[in-house]
Amino acid sequence: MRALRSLKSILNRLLDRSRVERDLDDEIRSYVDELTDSAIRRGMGPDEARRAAILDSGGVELLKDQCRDSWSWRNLELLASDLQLGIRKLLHSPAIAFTIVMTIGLGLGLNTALFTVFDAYVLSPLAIPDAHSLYGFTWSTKSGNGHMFDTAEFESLRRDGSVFTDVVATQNLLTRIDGNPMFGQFVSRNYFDMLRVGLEAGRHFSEAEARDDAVMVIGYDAWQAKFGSDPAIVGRKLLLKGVPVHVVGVAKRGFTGLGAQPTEFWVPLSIHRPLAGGKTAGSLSLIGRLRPDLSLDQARAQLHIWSKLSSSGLLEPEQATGAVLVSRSTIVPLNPGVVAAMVPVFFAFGLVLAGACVNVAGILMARALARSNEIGVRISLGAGRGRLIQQLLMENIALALPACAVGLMISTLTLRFAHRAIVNSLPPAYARLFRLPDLSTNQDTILFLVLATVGSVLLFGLLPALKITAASLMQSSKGEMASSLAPSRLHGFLVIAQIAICTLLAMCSVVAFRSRLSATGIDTHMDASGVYDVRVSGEVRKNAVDAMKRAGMQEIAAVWRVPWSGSLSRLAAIPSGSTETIAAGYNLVSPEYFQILKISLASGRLFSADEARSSSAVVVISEATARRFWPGRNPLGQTIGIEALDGVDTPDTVRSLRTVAVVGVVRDAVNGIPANGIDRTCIYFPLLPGGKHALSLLVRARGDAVEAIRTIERTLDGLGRGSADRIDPLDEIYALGVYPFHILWWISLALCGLSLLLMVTGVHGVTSSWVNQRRQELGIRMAVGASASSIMGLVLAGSVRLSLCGAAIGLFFAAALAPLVANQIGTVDPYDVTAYAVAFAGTLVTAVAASAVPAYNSARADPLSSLRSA
Amino acid sequence: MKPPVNLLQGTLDLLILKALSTGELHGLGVSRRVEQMTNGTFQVKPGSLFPALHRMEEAGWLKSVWGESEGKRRAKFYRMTKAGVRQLAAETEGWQRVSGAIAGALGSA
Repeated sequence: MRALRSLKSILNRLLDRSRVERDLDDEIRSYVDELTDSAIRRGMGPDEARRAAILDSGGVELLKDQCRDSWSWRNLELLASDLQLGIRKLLHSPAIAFTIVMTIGLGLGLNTALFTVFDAYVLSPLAIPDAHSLYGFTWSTKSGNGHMFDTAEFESLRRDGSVFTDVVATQNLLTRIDGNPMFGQFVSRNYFDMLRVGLEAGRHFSEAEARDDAVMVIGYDAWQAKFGSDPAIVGRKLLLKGVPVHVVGVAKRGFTGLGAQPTEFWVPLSIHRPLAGGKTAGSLSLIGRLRPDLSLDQARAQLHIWSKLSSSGLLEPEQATGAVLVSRSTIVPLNPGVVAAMVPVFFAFGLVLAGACVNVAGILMARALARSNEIGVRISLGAGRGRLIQQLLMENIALALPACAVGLMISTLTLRFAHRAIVNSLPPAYARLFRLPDLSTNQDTILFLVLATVGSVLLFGLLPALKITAASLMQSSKGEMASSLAPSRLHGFLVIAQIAICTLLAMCSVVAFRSRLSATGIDTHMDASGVYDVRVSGEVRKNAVDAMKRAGMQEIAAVWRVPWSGSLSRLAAIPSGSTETIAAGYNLVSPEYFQILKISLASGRLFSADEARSSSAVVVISEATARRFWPGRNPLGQTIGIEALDGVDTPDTVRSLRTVAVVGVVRDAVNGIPANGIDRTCIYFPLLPGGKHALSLLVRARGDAVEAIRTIERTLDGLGRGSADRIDPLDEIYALGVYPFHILWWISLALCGLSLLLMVTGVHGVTSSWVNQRRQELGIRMAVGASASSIMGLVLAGSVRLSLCGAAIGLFFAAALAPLVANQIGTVDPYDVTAYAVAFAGTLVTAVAASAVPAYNSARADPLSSLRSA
Repeated sequence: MKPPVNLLQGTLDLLILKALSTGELHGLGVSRRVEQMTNGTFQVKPGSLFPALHRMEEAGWLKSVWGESEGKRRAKFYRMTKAGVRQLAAETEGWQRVSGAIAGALGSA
């Protein structure tokens, strides 16, 4: 209350400044008049009385000043006038002000853009009422996997009600609707009631309505982008996996489900049976609203008991070992893993901002030196150091405010550009699915920007302000600087800092470049051109091969895991004649797999269609596997003892085998993640097309991608409209596998390029200012006979020394920070010596070249004019 | 009369509030009332008085109004607010505790 009153009083006084001054004047004068009257009453003459009164009050103006000093809002007023002065000073040199604002704005903008993305994914709660009470729940198992629930377990947890007020079940679904790939979810009917999200149009489905209604709620963005905001969307019938589904509502704008991939439609779980053959066993994820009266630990303890009871009937590896609760209030939960992944990224972006600040500090230093006389005179006249620093910092704040605005603009532009660049560069099959969450500026972004600006001002402004005001009275009266912060030392520090930052970023960039080269330059030893990954589900799968063959697509293979879509699954293998257990990669493929991808047979034979049909205990292995298992021996006829690894999803046809015989050896190829190169081991098990593990069909089709996809879709539509879930060109799956390396390279290239630019301008500017400071000394050297080349050598030698020092510090930090990123992306080698050498040499040469121009100018200067003007 | 002594730190606010506890006064009035209350021991100089009045008004302990002095001049009168009354009570209590403690300490020496 008191604080509020004080604030009101301060505001009143600030707003009515002239009245306050008039009142003060009246009050003091009336005091002096009263004193005068009283002295006259005591018998003094009027003049004498007046003089005595003035003397007694200590002087009217001084008394007024003492009163003003007691006003707390006086400091605010001083700050405002300092700010005004700062702006006026900057307007005198608009070019410098512009350079500083743009440099800092650039650093701030890039960092704000990064923060905006981080905020949208990790910090901002989802657009759902009381999002903080949402938790994803699963139980951990001995096999190491999180449990996926079936309908009975879901219903049981809902009924239990001791931990969650309500629970929803979801299952992802990637399919094609109207020829568009779309990402949706099967959800329990209480989904919209539990989340309490509204609708843009129509209604949602609920538990009250008939359970077998084939209905759908479509996402707002999908409605806009894929159905052209069709005003008649509600009531329209869409074909989902061949089943007609009624659109009953459009979800509220901004609601995109609960996962990282925005959901484009929701259908009730109850229609799962006609769509996916009814298999919901072990495929549901559960999300509940935690009871408000429970702590997380209590909830975990209760769920542990529930999990133990519920899983008691399961096989031993699937029984619950603990309860796992993960907050679902944001798109990505904030956990140590996410923080560890983001730290190097924030660090790299932060370095660019730091580089920008050091650059600006250099410019301000040069200005400070030019103003040393002015500051000297002010110190001589009695200005306090604190007051001068405050004034200089206010000048920097005058710079920071427009830089803040520029930063916000650059951030918006960067995000817009990045979004467009990603959509344009992603393989087309995925670009159509890619969507970003809302990245508009919000209060978190503004707070971050303001804090970053304050940090920057302190970083770039404090050092020059401290330095310029550190001069003693004697020095300042002569326009000299304090010896403890001699220009040369500070100049050295700034140059070293910039070169170190640049070297560090250059090293990151070259490492990224080389890992991109190695990732994209890998020969997969397969021919995927014209091959499509076709996913069909349920009953249609059995007839799909025949239908496509009838349509003229002769080359069709079935595969369990599509090549390049992830790491190869692993099992424990014991080669005959050895006791060693090897974790070996494997896949299930039909005999046509080798033919369609042109993986040639090296020796032995491929498995036959009969062997595939009967899931015989025969395998084909890669040459690398043969070398690894039986070095120098003939692998044909050998056997492999196999066992499923704990915690790895293994098909039952493989799980049921104990020993398999090797019937053939094929050439090495890349089946796993492209960047990991040739599979170190790969065992191919026979697979029957149309079988339950034949999750994908590889089909070679003629014509361009659009035409081929249309042909395949039309053929499958013959079996039931909309029965194709996905039809993706195989080479796009490969492109997606190496895509992160492109992104990494682009980002690090952009950061390195910017920091290189900042370093060149910074080193050039600081060296010029240093040469300028030493003009007199250089003039004397030349006057006493130093040659132009020796002067240039002198300046360059200093620059080489500083550059070496900076680059070495950069190298040290790169090596010290390498362990941080060492395990983030498997195929990036943060200890790449060649990359370090290239970056080190490159930065060094650029830095020395940047100081060559001022060095050349200093050597060309006329010694007499240098001496005269100094 | 003994020579006036300098005001102890912190006692100025207490004396001003006490001076104003009987009614509103202008600057010179406050200064005279303090002198009178302390039998001339304390003299408040205008260089201390006016900044203190302004500070206390900003703190909400005093309120000022323009009025007419005995000499028929326009003068600014200060009077205590409710917050001022509470402040006076608090400061009086504090002072009594301190002075009692000091008197006790001196008495026992």
